[in-house]
Amino acid sequence: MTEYFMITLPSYDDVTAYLSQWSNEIVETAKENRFRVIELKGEDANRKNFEQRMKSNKPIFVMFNGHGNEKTIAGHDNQPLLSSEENIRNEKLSQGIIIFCRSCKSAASLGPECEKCGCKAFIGYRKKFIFVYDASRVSTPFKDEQAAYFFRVSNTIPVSLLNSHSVEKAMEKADVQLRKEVEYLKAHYDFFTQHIAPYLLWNKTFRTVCGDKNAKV
Amino acid sequence: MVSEDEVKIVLERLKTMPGNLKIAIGDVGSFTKDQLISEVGLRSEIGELIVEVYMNYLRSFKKSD
Repeated sequence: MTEYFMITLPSYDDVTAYLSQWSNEIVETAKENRFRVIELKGEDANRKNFEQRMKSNKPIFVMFNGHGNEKTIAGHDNQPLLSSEENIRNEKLSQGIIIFCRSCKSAASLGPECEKCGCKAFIGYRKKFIFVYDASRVSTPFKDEQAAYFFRVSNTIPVSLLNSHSVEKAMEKADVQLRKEVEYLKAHYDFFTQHIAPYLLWNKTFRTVCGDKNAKV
Repeated sequence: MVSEDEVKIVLERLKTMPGNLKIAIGDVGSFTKDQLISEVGLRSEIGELIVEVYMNYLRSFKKSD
């Protein structure tokens, strides 16, 4: 049976452009693993499309890129896609699936709410998701070597899940990747380490799983 | 609440930050070295967050001793 993977790819400011451009590896991994991939790109990452595709295709794994807060994860132009204040809607949309939110604070309130609504596992960040980037690379985020440290670590989570690893294993793999990145920085660009490593560690410290850590896609 | 000493430590570190780097903090925006120094100096919400980030990193060395 063909399973669906949905990913939101808004791109209306520097942050969302980076999040989306660095998602290519995730989309490729999903395709290699024979998932049908629903990419909600740019303006298509809106509430109506999201709801429609969730209902008609029933993806088993959804990854959100975008801005967020304790209660909400947003799509294009900060349009709320999922909110902890919409219990009935959440029950319909998040039941039985795995969610990864690459956004700020979503694991603080939205994550536990989705867990209550039957979401198998919700992975997100309890505080701000922060990354460092090179201001001269904003027009080509994928070539930004400073931002790469952050996205190689956070991409490990969905890539591992799409490769059939459990949520717990995906977290472990992200931690291994983080150690590799910091070791590489220390060995090659020690000067940058003290300005990049604190933010890498921050994201790890506040990354949280709500729900079943043994869950698999 | 961050302490005076923590603010001083972080300000010294920020002074060595390469000028081409920017820090993206969700929908709050992106910050240059000078903006971060200003936010930390003012002890704004962002300034306190930055102090927390650096102190979380520095404390991690103590934990791993």
